[in-house]
Amino acid sequence: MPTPGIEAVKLAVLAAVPGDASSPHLNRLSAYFTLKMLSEGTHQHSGEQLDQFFDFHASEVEHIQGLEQIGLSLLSTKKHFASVLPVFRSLFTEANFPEERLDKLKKQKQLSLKLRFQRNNQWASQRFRSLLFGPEHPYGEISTTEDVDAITREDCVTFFREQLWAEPVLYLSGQFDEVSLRQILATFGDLPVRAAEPIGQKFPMHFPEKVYEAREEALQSSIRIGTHLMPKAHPDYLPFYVFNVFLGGYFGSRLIKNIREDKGLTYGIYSSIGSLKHQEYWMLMADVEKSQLQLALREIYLEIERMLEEPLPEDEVEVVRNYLAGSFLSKFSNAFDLMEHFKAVDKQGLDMRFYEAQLQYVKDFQPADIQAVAKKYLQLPRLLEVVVG
Amino acid sequence: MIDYHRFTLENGLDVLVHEDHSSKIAVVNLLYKVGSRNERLGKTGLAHYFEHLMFGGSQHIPNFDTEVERAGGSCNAFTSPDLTNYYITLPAANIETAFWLESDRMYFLSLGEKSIETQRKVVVEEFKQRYLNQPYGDAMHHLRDEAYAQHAYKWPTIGAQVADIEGYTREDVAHFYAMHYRPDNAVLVVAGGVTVEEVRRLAEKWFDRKAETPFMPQVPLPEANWSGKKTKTVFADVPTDALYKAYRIAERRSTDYLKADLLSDMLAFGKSSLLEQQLVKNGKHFASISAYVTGSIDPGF
Repeated sequence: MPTPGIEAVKLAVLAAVPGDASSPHLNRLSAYFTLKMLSEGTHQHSGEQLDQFFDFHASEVEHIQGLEQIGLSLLSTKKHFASVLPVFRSLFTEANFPEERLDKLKKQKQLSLKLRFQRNNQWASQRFRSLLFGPEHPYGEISTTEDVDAITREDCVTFFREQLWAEPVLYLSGQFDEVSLRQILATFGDLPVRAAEPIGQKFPMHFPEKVYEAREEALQSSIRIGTHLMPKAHPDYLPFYVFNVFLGGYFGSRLIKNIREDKGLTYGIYSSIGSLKHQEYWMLMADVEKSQLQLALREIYLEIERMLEEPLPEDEVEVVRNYLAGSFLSKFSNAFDLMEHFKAVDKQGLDMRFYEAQLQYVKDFQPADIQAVAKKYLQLPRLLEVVVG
Repeated sequence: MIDYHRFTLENGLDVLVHEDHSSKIAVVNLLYKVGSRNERLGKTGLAHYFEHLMFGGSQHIPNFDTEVERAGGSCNAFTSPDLTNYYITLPAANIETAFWLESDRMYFLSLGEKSIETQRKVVVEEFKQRYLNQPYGDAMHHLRDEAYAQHAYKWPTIGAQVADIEGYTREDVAHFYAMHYRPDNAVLVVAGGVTVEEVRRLAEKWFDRKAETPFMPQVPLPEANWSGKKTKTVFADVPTDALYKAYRIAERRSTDYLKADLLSDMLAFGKSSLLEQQLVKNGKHFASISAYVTGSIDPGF
């Protein structure tokens, strides 16, 4: 996707995370550490030399660690891209996995796991995901410091040899010409790749029990409420997308107006749609004054109910239509964002026409339709509620 | 460099325009030269709290955010020790709406009881969420308190303590507004799909009023001239020890500041930096290390 307005080039190489249900914990951690280790030393260059090389050439290598995709990206200037590319390419196949670097990465990971556990809001999100997808599912796993301890250099080398670079896709954006495009294709043409193993898509669908993890010392309660949705191509997607904006998807939302601007119970309350390869999920999040937790929860469910049952005022509908139409203009104004928006639809087998349909829907939707659709998804046994703090 | 055009209105409002005709978006950015630097002990955090009140409606526009959204835009703001900055991004075709909104809250802010009390709670929750309810969240409170003897940089923008936020009076708020929110203490920056002529016309139309009182801002106490090393140890339930070291540096507008800035980058910016290589990658004790300069109007660290 050439975007000549910017004098930089970004190349992202994303591969599928392998779907190994037998030992999801170790497997996902192996993927994590293998990817991290790619830039810690190759047969040609030490980790320190690699760091010096990329910094000297005003270039940045980023590790992409998603639930479904892992990979590396290179951000460079137009001037340096051609000279940096071969070294970037060597990270994919030439890593030599120095033991002492792995030890360091493991210690860093263990510390970040401990921090995540102590940050109530991060831990609430983690618990939410774990229960939404199931603790045994790779999307729902919670790594422990013991899991990290168990990772060996051998695990990384095996993952590197047998599972990395499954069905990779190259995403290129920025300022480049035919010559650099050919150079990239030639450079990556010999990358050995393998077929992706699918990840199982069976998740818990009903959540009769609310989860409350009390924390004595906490000053706030972190609330997470959510449910499974449909893929973007499903006819319910666009109505639900618009419904979410009204409820908690922008600063003028019902949740902000009530919980923050009227009652002052929180600094922020939002709801959003998360995206996976096969489907989307919905999550509402807020950190609220601890002594007001029950009031906050009651008002959240009341706002959901009012959004579902009461006719939407015309003025509010106008504001949401205009706000969303305007947000489309800014959404597509940045060169690198453009590619991120493409990736988001590409992984579900769609293309940029999806956004045209989305904009059209924003202009035309009937308020009653979005309410009817949301009702199917926001019914209590389908809603997962997690509170930490 | 980004090219821009600059002019000043008769009332002292400084205006900068950057034309970018490849964009259908415009951003209207109004910066007031007021921050926690202009606060005094006992009323800390007022500048940041006031930023919240600026969204609480003005005489002709009861709901600020709704009107931004109705124009297809979005808005936000931030407060630093030295300044408070408000910005609206919206389709360039609707740019006058942003002038109308910013003008009304510069001259006619409502400061209603409801807004004052609700935002007090919201900011207390912000204080808890960002600074108290997570490990190391209050580190900068401790650090600033040691790094300055009396200058207002002694506390972070959120304020020294929750009690200060709970204690602001209606008079504190009204006084702060009159003292700092005025055209001769502001910089307007407009960028995107706009022309200099259009911005000049709109600026003259919507910001034509002069401030009614002479400009007498609250200025910070000069920092005492101390030297030597101070140390403070704080015990808390955190996953691991954290070390913060601060060195006094020059104010932003001096050339010594640039040297300090470059030096901090050499030490800790990027994977190849000295401290990253020596202490993190090849050392046993550090999981991460970073460095920055405060780059403030008065000498920073």
